[in-house]
Amino acid sequence: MNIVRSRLLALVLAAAFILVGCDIGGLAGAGGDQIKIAVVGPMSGDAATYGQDFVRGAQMAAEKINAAGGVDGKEIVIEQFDDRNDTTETANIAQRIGSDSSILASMGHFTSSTVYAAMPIYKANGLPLVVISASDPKITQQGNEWVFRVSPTNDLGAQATADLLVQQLGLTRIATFYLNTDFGKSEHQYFVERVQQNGGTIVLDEPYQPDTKDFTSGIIKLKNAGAEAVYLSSYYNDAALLIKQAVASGVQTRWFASAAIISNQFPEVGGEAVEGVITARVAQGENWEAVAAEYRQKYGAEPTPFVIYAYAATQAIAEAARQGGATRDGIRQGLEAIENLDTAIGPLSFDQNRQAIYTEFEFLIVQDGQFKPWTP
Amino acid sequence: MDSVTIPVLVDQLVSGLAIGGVYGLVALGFALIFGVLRVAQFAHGEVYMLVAFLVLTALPALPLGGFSQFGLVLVLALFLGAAIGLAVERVVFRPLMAAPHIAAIISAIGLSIALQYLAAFLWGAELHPFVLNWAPGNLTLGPATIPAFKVVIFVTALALLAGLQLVLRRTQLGRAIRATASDPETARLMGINTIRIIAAAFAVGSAFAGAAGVLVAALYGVVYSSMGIAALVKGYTATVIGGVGNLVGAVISGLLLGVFEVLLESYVSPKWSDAIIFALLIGVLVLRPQGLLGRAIPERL
Amino acid sequence: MRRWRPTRIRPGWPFLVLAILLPLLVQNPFLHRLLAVAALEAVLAVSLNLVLGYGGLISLGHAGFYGIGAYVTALLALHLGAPFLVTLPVAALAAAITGWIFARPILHLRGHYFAMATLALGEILVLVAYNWDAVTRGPSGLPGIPRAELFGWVATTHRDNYYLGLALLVLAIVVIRRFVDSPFGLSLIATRGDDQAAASIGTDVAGVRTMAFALAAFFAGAAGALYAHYITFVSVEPFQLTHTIALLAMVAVGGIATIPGPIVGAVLLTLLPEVLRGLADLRMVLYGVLLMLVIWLRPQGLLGQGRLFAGWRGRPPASLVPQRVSAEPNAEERRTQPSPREEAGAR
Repeated sequence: MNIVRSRLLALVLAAAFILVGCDIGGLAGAGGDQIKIAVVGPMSGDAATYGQDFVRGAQMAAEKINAAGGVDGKEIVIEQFDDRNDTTETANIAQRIGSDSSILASMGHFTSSTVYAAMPIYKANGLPLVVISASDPKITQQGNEWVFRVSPTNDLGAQATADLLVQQLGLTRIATFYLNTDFGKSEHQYFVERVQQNGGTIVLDEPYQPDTKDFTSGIIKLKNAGAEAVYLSSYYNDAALLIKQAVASGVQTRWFASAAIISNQFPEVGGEAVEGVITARVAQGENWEAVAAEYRQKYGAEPTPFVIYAYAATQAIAEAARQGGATRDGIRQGLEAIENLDTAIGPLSFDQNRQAIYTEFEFLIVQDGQFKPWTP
Repeated sequence: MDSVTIPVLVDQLVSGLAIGGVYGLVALGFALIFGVLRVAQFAHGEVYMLVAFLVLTALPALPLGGFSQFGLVLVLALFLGAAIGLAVERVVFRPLMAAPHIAAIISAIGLSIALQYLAAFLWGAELHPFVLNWAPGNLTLGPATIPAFKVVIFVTALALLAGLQLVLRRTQLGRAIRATASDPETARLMGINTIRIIAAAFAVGSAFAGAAGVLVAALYGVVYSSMGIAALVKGYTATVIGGVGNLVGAVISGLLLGVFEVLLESYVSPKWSDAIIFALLIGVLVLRPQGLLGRAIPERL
Repeated sequence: MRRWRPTRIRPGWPFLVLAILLPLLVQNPFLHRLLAVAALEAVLAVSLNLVLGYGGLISLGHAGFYGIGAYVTALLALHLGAPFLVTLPVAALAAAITGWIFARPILHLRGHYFAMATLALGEILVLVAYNWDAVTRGPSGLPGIPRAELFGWVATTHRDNYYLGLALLVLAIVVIRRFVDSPFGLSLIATRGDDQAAASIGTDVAGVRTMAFALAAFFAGAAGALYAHYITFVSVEPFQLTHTIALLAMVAVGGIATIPGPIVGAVLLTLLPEVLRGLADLRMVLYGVLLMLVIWLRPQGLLGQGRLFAGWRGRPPASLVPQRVSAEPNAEERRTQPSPREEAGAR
């Protein structure tokens, strides 16, 4: 290595470290009169709308709580982080959050896969995580005492829809499509089991890979499967595209889908093809409606359920800090002690696995480009 | 699905040929550029994506009914593709002509990343519905009912290929492109301005990518910022199977790839179809190092 | 071997000392994490450079070997309770053997055919890991991998894992430099320019290429083992084509066919997205633009040597050690006029 090159190398390294130094400088500075909560999710990429919902929900709750005097005089501060919906980036960002001592609690990580990647890191750092969307029931069954969940698990909605289809509507020949991920596979499994228990038949059982945009081969199978109804364990993008392409290919059937399709994007991408699609979600009380109304006024759009869950998670964390003290472990203990707390999702209680308890479901249908309540 | 019936098979074949036509167009452009420059244009997929977005943005200004809108969109896509291709050649490839190959490839990768995220920034990273006013409905082909638009895509792809062949064989420019593709050194000695020919190949190849972009947008009904990557991998695969630099081979293998995909997804497994295609690809390369349809041209890398 | 080329590359002792001291001087877990990741990326880039830089072969499946290492480690540790000292060599060997078996039939392929075959291999590995639920748990990934343990010392913190990565990097540099300086390495470099000419002077082209490919896979597999013990969770994302492309960029930005180049490239491109994080949506746009800019200003990379480039483009070099710094036209071209590419570059 000649002198010029080694100098260049030294220069490059020095520049890199200075840049990193600057960046880290920005991380320091914990406020004594603040309770900082990290909101993590996909803030970029094609799932970015979910991350945006997380932040909006949390922000709205924080503003409300702060306006009412905060938590024992301490202000709730929301800081957003982008995990890009990627497990490796999630591990990176969870560590960054964990090692920032000014952050007392975290909420988010959109998918079950990213939550799985993040969970051990939160535990190692002793930072409570409140899950607000990932729906694999097994997440809270891992014995990780730092992980709580205020959103419902996917088994409940899938089972409610299976009961609706077979028992109430008498549709017994059912085709299913599912996204081949933790979320899709687990939801699909609960749905199929319940349909079969109810005496229905699964006439098509079709997985698809993430990022699929061409559902041609599955749709041709569907055309010839003789299904009376189709159930999709999908997110809004895949579900809207699949239905749109199927309708364009002349498929006529009744469509049902997981609650994960509830998004303004769903009717936007799907257009007329998704009119009449039915989904199940947890029953919404007055509190839910009040937050939804506030959201509509503020952003001029219908909120997704994730706005409400983020809102409720923020309320739960604030209450936990009040009861257990404004420390990481205090918040964890405070969350465990929560019983019938009045939140955006209604009275919140956790079971022994730190999973919020839900009992009632309601159905929604897409009409005139919007999700509207529907009764069978 | 257990029984194979004729209508189902016809449906699958037509669908495979439609998406295969799109792969073929992407591969054709990739192969054309590769042929004259001998460098892989790894930002080719981003041209396809960018044209689809630009056309989407222009759609409200084209409130024509039916087929004339489709035709206009296609022509617009060809022109936009050509313009982007020329710019890419001028900015990314021409300054690096004397540089090592890997430099041009990395530069193209940099461009691809920049364009993909720029599109996400400008238009948003979510799916954007892409709907033409023209909905040709279904076509009855014997016992089978198939979406007519798929036939249109297949026919459009073939028509563009035929047009290119006509240009390549009958015009002075075409002959110059072919001469440059087969032997750049000799072509230059024969007095061909190879720098201009490379630019021309970029324009034509990128125009085809643009056409493919709007066809696929109309077929799937959406445009999104990461759509270029899948197109690039499929187009690259088709190019290599067809024999790098072999234009007809690129189109034929694009069509084959589309049909194979649909059949594997239908009769083997949607989870494993890509893995099987890549395994077959390795097999083809081991047995026929020049690609399935290629002849042994001296490749330089 | 170094006896007869003693002055070619001097060890970067000062840099090693700096690399060891830095995390002790700066006590920030986040920086330690970045350093730990950068060390692994550097191992990957240095090993890829053996194939890409010295071998002149574009491999688009390198992250796949990283994945083999990580998955083998995860499965051994989770199912058999194998300790780190077992998982590390087994993972590295598994990757090397896969590379060796795969390399034999495809190494006669040239240019894009080789690149395509490696891309296909990488994609197949990812698809198998993603879909073979029974073994890999598919999209759920494999959580709960124990930390690396060496004689009672457990690598718990980021800094511990950084030092493990740094140790592997030093090993990779020493081994790869020895390989490159050995007769095998010289043969490898000879095949880069013109494999037929190299074969005609008695080089076992397929043999040296296979060896280089397997050696590169070996270190990628070892890096995968460290990754699995470090992150304690393995799923397919880090082993995809996009990661291989990032590795190619690291090698090219740092300087192809040099020892320090890929390390500098790995450190810079690992830190860059973090530094740009404040730009949110625009950061990847800037990342792409900076990549283009570096290549535009220094096509041979930041630390690249023009000398080693000659012949890299597949034009047969006139001799093994060309005299000119820029791309060397071959003997035939020299008799004629400069080619259009040189013409354009001269302007």
